[in-house]
Amino acid sequence: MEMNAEAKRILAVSISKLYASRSQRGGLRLHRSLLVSLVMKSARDIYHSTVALVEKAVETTASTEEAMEAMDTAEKLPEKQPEITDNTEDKENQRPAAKRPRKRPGKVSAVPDFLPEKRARLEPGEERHDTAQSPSVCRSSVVTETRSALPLLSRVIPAF
Amino acid sequence: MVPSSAQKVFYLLIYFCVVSAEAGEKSSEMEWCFSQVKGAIDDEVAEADLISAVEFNYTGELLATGDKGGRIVIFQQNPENKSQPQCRAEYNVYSTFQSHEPEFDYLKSLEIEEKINKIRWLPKKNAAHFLLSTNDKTIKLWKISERNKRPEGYNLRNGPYKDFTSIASLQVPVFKPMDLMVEASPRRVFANAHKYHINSISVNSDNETYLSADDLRINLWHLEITGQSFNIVDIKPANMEDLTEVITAAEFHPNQCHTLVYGSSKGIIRLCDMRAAALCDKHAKIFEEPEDRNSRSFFSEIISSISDVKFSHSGRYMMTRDYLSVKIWDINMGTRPIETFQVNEYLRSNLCSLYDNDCIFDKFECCWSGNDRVVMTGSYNNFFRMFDRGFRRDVTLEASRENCKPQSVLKPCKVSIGFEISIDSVDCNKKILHTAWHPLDNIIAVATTNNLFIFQDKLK
Repeated sequence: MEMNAEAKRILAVSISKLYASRSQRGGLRLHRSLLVSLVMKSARDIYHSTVALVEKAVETTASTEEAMEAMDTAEKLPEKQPEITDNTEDKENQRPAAKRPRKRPGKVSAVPDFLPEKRARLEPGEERHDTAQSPSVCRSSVVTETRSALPLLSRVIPAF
Repeated sequence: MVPSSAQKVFYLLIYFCVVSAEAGEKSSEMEWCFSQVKGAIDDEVAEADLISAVEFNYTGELLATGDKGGRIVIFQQNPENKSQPQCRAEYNVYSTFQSHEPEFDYLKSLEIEEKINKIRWLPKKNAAHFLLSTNDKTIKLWKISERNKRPEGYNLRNGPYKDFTSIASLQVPVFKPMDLMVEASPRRVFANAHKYHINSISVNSDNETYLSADDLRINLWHLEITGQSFNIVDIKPANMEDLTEVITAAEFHPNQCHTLVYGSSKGIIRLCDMRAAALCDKHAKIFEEPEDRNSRSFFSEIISSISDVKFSHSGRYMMTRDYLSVKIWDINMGTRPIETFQVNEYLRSNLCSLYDNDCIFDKFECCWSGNDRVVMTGSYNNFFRMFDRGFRRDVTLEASRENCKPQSVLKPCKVSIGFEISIDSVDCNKKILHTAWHPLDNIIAVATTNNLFIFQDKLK
């Protein structure tokens, strides 16, 4: 968990560095941006691997609970069938609260909570992989790398 | 946050032991004496005054410094004191000029800094001196010449123009002595050849060409031709998303005009032979030390990035600097360095804090002594380190205005082993990034933030 917290902190610091480097005098430094993105990648990998371990542990616990529930409710199954049919016919008018929740209880969100929610948007006409535009290509490549690492990032690295 | 002076003293007392030279224990056979310090005394440093380049010329007579404001200051060794051993390291201002101005790239909406990244002297061919200076995008060739005579006795002009009808006889103008005037004039401007930031320039031993390197490309220039350059190394990937490595330093071999090396952000050094092909994308030799898996961390890539690469004067060895160490390589063996010197291993436990305050991105340079026996590099707290390859000894010295008495011997500083160094005891604002060693004598120039210290070897 400490590693997870450290990875999150380093990710946040790295993002702020990338953001600040866009406005520094002399333009974006390719070498520095590359090093920061490598650190972010390492932190992201550790963060996701930690999250995956937690998810796996939760799934194991949940599947055990479901197995227990399945054993308990096996006798009540014939009584429930007419209710299911009614539910199918009246599916559109079901209240949202009656719907089965889409998320498993206790599932850890894949999105780090310290990141904003909106996706970054590109300005019209901008090409992400245009090698002729040097600093902007560098910048876009770093942003792309960042975006692939952390999809919900637009507030920290807005469109340019 | 800058620690208070009391805190600094406290931490320095705990973590660093000053070893008196009189105690008899020497870390090196050389003793260094203070000679001069150049620069302002003020604690508040203007950013334009930050020294960004230091370089002796081929004879050591001239010492050039570049700063963040785009200026170059050249110091000249006092000719009267050259023969006096005690005062031979006395340098006076010879010339000051504005090399680069800030520019603006309107197409890319980018400001181009005027900071001088590198200075390289050309071998002297005539009475004038020539040097190359570069900022992020443009290289300039400067001619520094002296004028100590001026012609006098013109027939028509001696101040205001004379009426030619009043001239009864003709005289031949003669040169008469005048006060020495040093002129710096730009002879060539090599521009528009680099899309990325120039990090290195290096003059070839053929005295006709030189290279300039940016993050992804190395170009070869002829000193007389500014309109075109040859690209000899290009590591730019087809898709910039696949970029994993950039060029961080490059240098020509001191004797072989066809050989060059470049270091990368991955800690790899590649040697290229220009005879093999016009494009040297494929290296002739690679120098890479296997990574120690046990010491892997978030910041392993950053600290392994090469910040400087220098050939020895003999050309047999080369030295590389990364964040924590200096490595000496035999150019005939690329599997591992022949020597590794730990500069500031105590920083390894504080890499996270150094990443937070951006100091982990500092690029330290290194240099060889004239006889290739000793190597030198800078560190934090205004410390600089020397490693004697022959005696297998190292010494840590401090460039401080507190040790500014003329001819005072520098006392070596010793970092106590066994204590865990707190990041608070490392003053990251005081760093020595640039050092230079006189090519023919034991005189060194060490640049702190905005001061240039000159030390000389105490002759015994």
